[in-house]
Parts: sequence; C-alpha cells; structure tokens
Amino acid sequence: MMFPFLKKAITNAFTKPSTEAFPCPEGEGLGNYRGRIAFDGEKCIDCGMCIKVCSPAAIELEREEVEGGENIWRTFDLTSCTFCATCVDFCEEGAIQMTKDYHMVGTKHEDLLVKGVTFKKKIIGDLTCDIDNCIYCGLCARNCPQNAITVDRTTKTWQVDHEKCVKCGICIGKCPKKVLSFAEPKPEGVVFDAEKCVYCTLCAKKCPVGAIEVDRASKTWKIDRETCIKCGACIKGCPKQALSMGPIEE
Amino acid sequence: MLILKSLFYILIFPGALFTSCFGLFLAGVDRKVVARMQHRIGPPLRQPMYDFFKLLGKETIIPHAANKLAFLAAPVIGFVSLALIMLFIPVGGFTAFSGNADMIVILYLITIPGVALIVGGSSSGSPYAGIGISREMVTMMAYELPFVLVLLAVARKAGGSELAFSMEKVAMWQAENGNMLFQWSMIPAAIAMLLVVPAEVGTQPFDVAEAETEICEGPLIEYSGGALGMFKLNTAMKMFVMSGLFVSLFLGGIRTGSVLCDIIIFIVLCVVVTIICMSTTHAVTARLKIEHLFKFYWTFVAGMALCSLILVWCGL
Amino acid sequence: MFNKLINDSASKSPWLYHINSGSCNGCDIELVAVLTPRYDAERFGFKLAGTPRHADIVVVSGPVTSQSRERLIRTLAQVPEPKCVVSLGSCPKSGNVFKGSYSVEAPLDNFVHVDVSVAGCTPKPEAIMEGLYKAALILKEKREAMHK
Repeated sequence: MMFPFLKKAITNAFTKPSTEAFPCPEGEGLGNYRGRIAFDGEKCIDCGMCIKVCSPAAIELEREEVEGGENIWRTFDLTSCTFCATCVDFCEEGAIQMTKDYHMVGTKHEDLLVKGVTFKKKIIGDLTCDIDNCIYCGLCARNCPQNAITVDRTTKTWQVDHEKCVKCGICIGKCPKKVLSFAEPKPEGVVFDAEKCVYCTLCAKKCPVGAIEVDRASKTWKIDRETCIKCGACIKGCPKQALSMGPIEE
Repeated sequence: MLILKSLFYILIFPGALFTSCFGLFLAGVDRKVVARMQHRIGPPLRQPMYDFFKLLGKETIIPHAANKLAFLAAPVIGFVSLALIMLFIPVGGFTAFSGNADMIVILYLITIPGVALIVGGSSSGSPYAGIGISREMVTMMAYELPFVLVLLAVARKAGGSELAFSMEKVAMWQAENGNMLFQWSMIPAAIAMLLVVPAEVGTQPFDVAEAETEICEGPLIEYSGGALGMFKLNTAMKMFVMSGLFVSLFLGGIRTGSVLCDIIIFIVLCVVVTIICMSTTHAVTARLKIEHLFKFYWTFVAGMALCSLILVWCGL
Repeated sequence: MFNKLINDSASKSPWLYHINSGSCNGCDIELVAVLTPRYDAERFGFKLAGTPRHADIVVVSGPVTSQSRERLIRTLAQVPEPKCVVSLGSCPKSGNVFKGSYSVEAPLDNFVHVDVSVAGCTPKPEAIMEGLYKAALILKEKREAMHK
C-alpha cells in the first residue's frame, strides 16, 4: 500500500495554513471581474439600448411626470442579472459601469436592487433632417437604438418613425454633416408657385371647403390656411402643377 | 457508601461524564489535526461540543415506517455500554471495577455500540440504511478476529504460562516489566491494534458503513435532533475508549506516583494515539470498499496479530 | 438550564445540505469551493451533511424546473426545524435568463420562505461564505424564537 501524501500531510501540519482571512481583506475581485452594477443617472440619455440587450430582462423603468420633463427611475435587479456586461458595452454615455464589488448578499429583495434617476427635459420638437445638406450616409440609421430611422442611398430618402423615436439624441451626435436636430416641425400646407399659375380657377372650384380665392383679373391667388384641410384636391386638379404640398412660412 | 462510590465511578469518573467530555475533546483534536494536515485552519477544538448541543436543540422527526421504540432506544443503549467499558480500563493504574475476566467483558461490551447502530439503522425503515447496516455487520466481523487475537496475545504475555484476562494484572505486569509496546514480540500486535482502532470508531479509510455521499449517511439517514446527537456522542466516546484501551494494553506501565499525573499522562497518550492512527490515516487515504476492507483485516492485520500470538506462545 | 448553550450552538455548528433544482452547476462548483482549504468554511463549523434530516441550512441553486419541483418540496419538508433556506445565485430568486420558460417555475419564494439570497452569476466563494454566515446568525434567532 502506497501513501503518496503522507510526507506532504505531515509537513503541512507544521506550516501556516493557506486559508484566506474572513471577512476577506481585499473586498473586491481581481483583474476585470464583473461585480455589482454602478449606475450614474446623470449621464443616462434614455436611449433604451440597455433594456434591449439585457438577456434576463433585469432592467426596469418607471416614469414620473414632473415640471419641465419627466423623472425616469431605472432599477437594475441584481437577483436577475447575469453579469454579462452587455449593457456596459452598449451604453453610449458610459452611465452603466461594473464595479469589482462581489458582496451581494441580502435578506430582503431591496438590498439587491441598484436604482438611479434621470431627469429628462421635455423635448417639444420632433427629429428633422435638413434634407438639402444630407449626404445619406446612413450613420444615423445604424446607430439608432430603436431602429426608428430609414435611410436609402440609392433613392435618396430619409425617414423617421416618430412613434419609435425616444428622442435620445444619439443620431444628432453621430451625423457628420450636423443636419439633424429636434426642430419644431415646420408647418406643411399648399405651396403656390406663381410662375406656373395661369389663374384658371380650377383649384378654387375643386376645393371642397372653399378655402382658395382666385381673381383672374387682378391675378391674385389666396388661400385661407385655417379652413384648408390639406386634402390635396387642388393639387390634383391644377393643370399646370403650380400647387404642391410642402413647408410654408407662417 | 459503596453504592455512592459506585455511582460516582459510573456517572462521573471514569464513567459517563469523564468519557463524554474527553471523547468530545478527542473528536475535536482529530478534526483539527486533519484540517491542519490539509493546510487549512479547521474548526475550534470545542466544535463537537457545539455539534452535540445544537443537535439537542433540533426537533426529532420519527419516520412513519420506523419502529419508534427501537429507533429511540438504540443510541441510548450504545451510550450506556460505552460508559460501562471505561469502568474496566485502568486509567493511570486505577481501575474502577476489576475482576478476573475483564477482557472478555470488554470484548462483549464493545460490540454493543456497533449492534446499536445496526438496530437503529434497521428500525428506521430506509433502504439506504439497509445497505449501511449490512456493511457495518461485515466491518464488525472483519475487525473482531484480529482484535481477539491481540487480546489473547497480551493476556498470554502478561500471564506467563496461563492467560491473564484481568486488566489489572496487565497493568501490574507492565509496571514491573516495562511497557508492552517495548517487548519486541508484541510489536506486530501493537500494529494490528493500531489498525483495529480506526475500524471500530468508523473513521476513514474504514467508514464504509457511514459513507456520507454514497448512501446518504447509511444507518443514520433518518435520525435527527437528540437521537442523532447521542449517536455522534457515541462515536466520540468510542474514540476515547478505543485509544484508552490501546494505551492501557500497550503503554500502561507509566507510574509517576500521583493519580492525577497518571490520568493526565493517560489522556496525553490517548491524544497521541488518536493523531497517529486516526487523524493521519484520515488525511492521507481514501475510503476502502467493503471487499477490500474485509480482505485487509483477515489477511494483513490478522496475520500480524497471529505472528505476535505465535511468538508469545513460543515463550518469547 | 442548558438553553443558552443550545441557543449559542445553533449558530456555531450549522450543517449544510445542497439541493440542485436544475442549475447549470456553476453555483454548485463555487459552493463546494467554499469547503476547500483556501476559503475553509469548516472553521465556522460548516459541514456538508449527507441527508436532509441532518441539515440546518439548505442551500438551493438552480431555477426550479417543473421536474424537480415535487422533489424539492418533499426534500425541504424533511428538514427539521429550526432551518434556514439560502438561495444561491440569481436563478432561484428570479429565473435569470430562463424566466418565462415553459418548464421553469422560479422564483423559489413561491414554495418556501427564503431567508438569505446570494446574488451573482456565479457568486464568488467569499460572497457565499458571507451569505452562509448570515444564515447561521438567523438560525440562532429562530432557535430563540422557537423556545421562548
């Protein structure tokens, strides 16, 4: 019978044990250990990317309307988190960080929640693009966390879905030509091209609400913007294509 | 007066209280030494005492399929028999009860804790316990043979031409002629006894009966609370009784004059024996299978004891 | 007479029993790492028991799968009072990435009162030891409450 560990056991009995002290003196993990989440509410721009990429759906929101905007309470549930740090990778502003703290022990659920609050100012305008200067590079569409922008280089179109847009402003930062902004939406209405018009008064006749007034003799064309319902009947009826739908000056 | 004296011997020293306290102490020493050998800090020396009192505070659940009387009586029977054995072992030259056939009585009494474990296990009605008790029975058969041979050898040596089964006579012989361990014909018997002790107590590598992870603790599977506490106390007391037996059989010739010093030396020697034969083997070996255990005891260990017996019978 | 000693011993000798209710085994590996020489939980009296009848602290890992649910409830019922349940990792507390699956019935709170939860995926052995230590202290309070 061989006892290969006998010598080691006897020498071990007389040397200092290799046990770590308790509580652990370092208190945190080594290297790039992914521990407790630290959330800085001030840096957050509410792009919603972290919620999108979180696989165990550990991030929850609570919105509270206050004067001038809203308070967004973001809760990271550590009892649901899998510590993959994907939210850290995808957060544009670096508001989410993973510390090296591994002491996550609690008797109540509240001990294991990380909360942060962001104040988001109310943005009145919608996202608009200065189409004349846009080069259709598509960077805004690629960086949009909610996939709200569509850009087509070949047909030279730029569109935004205002329902999906969360007004985080990432696209504005990414645009190389700085053509994007949250501008007040320019009002649209019937645009009159005076050079093409022959004052045939067909548009006035086609208008169902009687918003257009054309005077053949004095060569004037007037439209009552308030009555106009923007149905487009006048645009279709004009033989000279002198009318179109576009931004108007108020 | 005699009754009071006997009660003192039975209950306090060297009976129930003395054996339990120092048994728990020895169990603590064993755990601490094993931990140190494994290069870690290990529990404090009082840990078995904490274990025992914690178990007293837990509720005892008796399974539906169990025989209630046997279930609860088994650990108590083991405790009583172990307390009684200590009365026959000379502690530093002082024996509480002495007669002409102490060794035979010890031999019978020492099987009772094992049988108590078997009875407790089988009364709990669990199939895991059934496997455990069959292994315990085979283990008992395995170590009884060399144990009997060792006792015969010691009895013959101490008695000269006849067999001296009285422990008192063995102690006196050692006081005159030097310790039994230093007679070169008794060394194989000492080695055999050192190997019988861990099997009796049930420490690794001979704890097949109570294999923790394999059969969910074998016979003790359904025990909880106070009854389990008694069984753990029995194991601790057995450690003390067996190492005490070894010390009194082979190292019982040390006399310093005062009874107290002798008792302290006895306890120290028990600690040394525990460290050598129980803690060291626990730390460096794995568990033996039941077939290997049986083969080991009936070939190697019995062979050593037989060697000694033949040498002693030839007059050496 | 021995009541104070018994109450103190309840926190000095907690025996563990580990139940895996469908875990990926990551948390189980870290739990047995707690008993190795480097982190040595035995210096506080922790010991792995082989059967739930011997246990004080029951450590549950894994989101409770439908197949293991029955066995989990029966095993937990076999543990004698006073007992403490520790949920190890984020799976028993919320189901982690397995939330909403057809065969996962997390959280563990639906079946038994959880005393201590150790979060992490997987928690470090030092964190597990802290959780077990807290559970041992809760055991003492439970024992005192049981026998007032």
